Amino acid sequence: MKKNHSLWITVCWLIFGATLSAQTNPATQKIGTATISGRITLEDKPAAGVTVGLLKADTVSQDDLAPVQRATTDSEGRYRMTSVVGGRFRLQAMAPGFVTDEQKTDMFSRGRNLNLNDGETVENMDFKLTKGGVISGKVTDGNGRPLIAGRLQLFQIQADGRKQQAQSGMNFVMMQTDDRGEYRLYGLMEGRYVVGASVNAPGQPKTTYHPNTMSQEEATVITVTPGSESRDIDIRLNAEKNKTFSVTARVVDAETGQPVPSLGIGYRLLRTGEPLTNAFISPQATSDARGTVRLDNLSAGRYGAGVASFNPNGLSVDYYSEATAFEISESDIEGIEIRAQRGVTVSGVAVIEGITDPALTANLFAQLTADSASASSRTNTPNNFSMPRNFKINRDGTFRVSGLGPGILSFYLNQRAATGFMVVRVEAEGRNENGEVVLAAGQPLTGVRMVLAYGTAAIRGQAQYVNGTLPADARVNVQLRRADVPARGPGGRSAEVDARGRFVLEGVPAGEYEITLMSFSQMRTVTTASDGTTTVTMNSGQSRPLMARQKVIVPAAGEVPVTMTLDLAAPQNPPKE
Amino acid sequence: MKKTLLIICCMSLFLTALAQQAPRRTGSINGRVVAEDGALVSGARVFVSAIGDRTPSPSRNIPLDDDGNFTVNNLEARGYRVSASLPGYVTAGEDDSWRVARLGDTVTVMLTKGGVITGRVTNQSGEPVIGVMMQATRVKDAAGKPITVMLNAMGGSLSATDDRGIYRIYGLSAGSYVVATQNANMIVNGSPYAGLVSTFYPSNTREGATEVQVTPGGETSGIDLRFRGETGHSISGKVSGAVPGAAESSMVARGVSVRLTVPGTQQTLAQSFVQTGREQFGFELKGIANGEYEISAANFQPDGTNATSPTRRITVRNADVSGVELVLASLASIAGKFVVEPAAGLKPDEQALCVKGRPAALNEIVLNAQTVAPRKTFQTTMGIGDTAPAEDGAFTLPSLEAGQYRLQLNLPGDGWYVKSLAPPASKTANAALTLSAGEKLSGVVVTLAEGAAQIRGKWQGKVTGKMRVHLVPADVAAANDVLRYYEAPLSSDGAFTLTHLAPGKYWLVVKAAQALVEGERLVRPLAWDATARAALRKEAEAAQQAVELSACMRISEYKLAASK
Repeated sequence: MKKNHSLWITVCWLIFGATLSAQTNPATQKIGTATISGRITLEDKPAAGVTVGLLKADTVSQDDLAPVQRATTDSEGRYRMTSVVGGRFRLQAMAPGFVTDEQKTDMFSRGRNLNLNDGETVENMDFKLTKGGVISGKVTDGNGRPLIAGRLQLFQIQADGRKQQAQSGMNFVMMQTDDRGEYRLYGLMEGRYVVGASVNAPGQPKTTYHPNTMSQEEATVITVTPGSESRDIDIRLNAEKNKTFSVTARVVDAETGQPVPSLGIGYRLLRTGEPLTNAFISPQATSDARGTVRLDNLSAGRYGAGVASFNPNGLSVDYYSEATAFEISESDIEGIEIRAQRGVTVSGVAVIEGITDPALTANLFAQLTADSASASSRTNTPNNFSMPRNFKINRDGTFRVSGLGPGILSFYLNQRAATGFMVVRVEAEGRNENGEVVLAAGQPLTGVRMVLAYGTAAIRGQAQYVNGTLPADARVNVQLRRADVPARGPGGRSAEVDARGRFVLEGVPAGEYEITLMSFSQMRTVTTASDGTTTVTMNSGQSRPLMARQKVIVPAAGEVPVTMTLDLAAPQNPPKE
Repeated sequence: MKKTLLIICCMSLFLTALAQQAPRRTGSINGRVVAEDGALVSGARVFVSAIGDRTPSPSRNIPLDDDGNFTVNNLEARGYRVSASLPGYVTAGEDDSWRVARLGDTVTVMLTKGGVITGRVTNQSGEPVIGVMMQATRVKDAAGKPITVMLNAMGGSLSATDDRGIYRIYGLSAGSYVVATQNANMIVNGSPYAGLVSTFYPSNTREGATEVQVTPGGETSGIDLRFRGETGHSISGKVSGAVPGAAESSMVARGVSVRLTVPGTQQTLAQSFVQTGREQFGFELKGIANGEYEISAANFQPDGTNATSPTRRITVRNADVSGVELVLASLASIAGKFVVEPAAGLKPDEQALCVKGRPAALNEIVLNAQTVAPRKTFQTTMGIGDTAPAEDGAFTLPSLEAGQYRLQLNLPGDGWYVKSLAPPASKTANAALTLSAGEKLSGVVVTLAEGAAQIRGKWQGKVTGKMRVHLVPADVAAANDVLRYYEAPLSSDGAFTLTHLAPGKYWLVVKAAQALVEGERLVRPLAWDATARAALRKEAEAAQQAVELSACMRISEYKLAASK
């Protein structure tokens, strides 16, 4: 168990988007003036003693997992949070073991978005809770001994029969057997489930489902009702089918044929029809001085492997590769070759439009961190793929990014790490007929001019919904695009719309923009009858978002108020051309 | 004639050295994982990693056969660290020997069933506290000796309560533990307990904590807590200074952790991990009770060049503490190289012995730096500090705090002994190196010589407790040369092996082993301390057990008489 802690930290940080750059703002002793209140019910009765937490909207550091402010419900189930400082938050009923309404529509829900202004009084922030169900049992290995630290897999059966992985896996302790092989999954929402377990080993060991089948389809379905406990849901692992194999591969430079040491190799067991490119995002093994890499503990199946864009220390590498496919049936494999291609290096200078003073430019660029910009390339060849590479824009605007595969070049700015900046256009040699910059293998691209805009204005918006109410699972967001920035490519900005229809886009450069409000729901289909009445039916299929668009002129500084109206009865929009 | 021989001899050694360098030697390490309770260990994982690999570690994760045997093939000639993990089990028999595996070695890893701490957490109204993270921090080992070295980033073993408030922390080494709720939330989505003051068993503040005993493989139950749920205070401030990895895109390299500890220990009470990329940034630790603390910041680089801040003392007394400034500074390092000097003036029979030795390459050497005087402050860097030189013998020992150090060497093969250690003149004090804070000391030359002798033998006395055999230079000129003193543990039957010995005249003496210094992994050689060295030499001289070692001499059945 001890060994896993650093891994846990890493995993947590990967989950929470640790590529964000942190700038916590502690010691702001400002006393807030806003108030939030509401009521929490448990199965329609007041729920006393429940904590309501107000968390920062963006989880940037581990500190942000603790509420900035909290309140506890009284005997009437009411809570009241006072002296709150305005900002972008998530409001969460913190009741582990219970299911909130939000979780019923989005099992990974981490609370309700709330864009709060100073001095506001927000009422009726109510939460409905249901008792969670429990599934417990014991997992034994092929020899009948308890499986210690085995991994549990839980799938909820959807209305259409699909099995969706339930529990984000965040609670590692719960999703793992203890030293007696016992497990206890709690806080489960009402529904039908199948549960499986596997040994805790690298290389995607196979899952056995309750009671003793390798097939999800043959697994016994467990029905969970609020507050129920399904005991003795034991799983006996099928030892024979958990057999694992080793693969020895050699990483060579595609041009010279020489071995390439210290490259991170990613690999993955692929599901039927899954593209090879999914296989090697993160490095799981490293090539040694002779370019040899051993992939241990692999179950039988079809795999893809290739050079990851960063090595196991998290540092970018200059190589990329096409995916190498291999299939393991019943023996170890040797002689796999991974041909590492030396990536293209792109260099140039970034400029800020409208700012000619080098000192001012340098000050603005000084705010940028090493991960505030990234470049990627894409091709239409399915196997040819290189992951985005982060890079830093220096104070004098120069930048250099290497390891890119051939293809169409794009630059992106990390919204949080590069607040106020936006990519307007990229000027470089070697454009195609669509005006896109094309990288050719083995040819460095120099003299690139990345034109950025910078601004400090903000857009404060309010979404209004007409002709219906939003489905419970709706996620609404806004996307901002400057009119003179091409539709394809970077330069956008987006924000989530909160429970009250509010949104805020900060650090917006001056200019003319188009804002698109989009509502995504998997639950809703609108049909309009001949008499003009509309019927909303819930379904579980993926449906297209509802959209509203609007133009807005942003000045050099200050705030622009915007109101947008979304017609919930409108036919679903086709995707934007 | 003598001269010719010498030249031939030198040439032959030179040629062997060359021959060793040309093709890369590869081979395998074999081993076995054994569980003390006889449990099947086929589910265990074996980790083999090259020591001192600063580039991404090609740590291999090896499956075992049904009998617990493993073989790792295709390894390059290096020093390796071999460990095994089996969930619920801990590595048995922590001892003070320096375990380095090299090609051809057979390694046995003994595992023993870990202990368990279990209990229930309720709130003030007696209802279960669900999904609170629990941490057990080992504060004393099974012998009651305080634990002072941080084992991992979290500083303890973790679990979380279930919907009944029950927690179960397993896989614990025997010893004394402090059990508490965690004020950070690492795993449970929507945990209301993040940022609240930790409650220590039994339902108390840290000062009121009672230690929980864990016996080998035993279960300690009923460790129940009533969670206090206090908001406490916050400690906030700013981290600035050198973050070596700030410009890197790597998440690990840019991460800075701020850790709040119990003064004088490594017991972590709160921790904040910030991904930065900026030259300075704020931190805030929430849920801190009144009390005395130590706080420090650290940045760990993949290549081992870490930066830390000085540890600051903080008192929280009924109010938040703000404005704490932690300035990161890169740590000191020692860099240098190993050179090999061929043996001079060998007699033909010596020469014949010398060429029989096992091959060795410079990058198979394993070394670390150990403070000359036991530390008063605690190690703030992670890891155990072993490293290895490159193929050309160049080495760097990074991340050292200011202090006086000696190099500890684990040599491969059996042909080399340490002839001299030549640090830059101003830095030397009998082969010890003095480092000031952040100093990058370079130019240290460790000269190895061919022609090491070896003694295998058996002490004729009765072994009681841990004992060690000491080899003490008889030559007065070497009386204060720390490099001429050797020591090795006696096995329970009195057997010992002393290797990598410089030729010369020595006295042998057996003594009770010196105790392991708190927080250290290897026994501190007796000869490091001038007073102890003088006493040891006097005692050895009196014992009258002399041995004269010529180059490459192999004494295999030395009978060391028990002194009267």
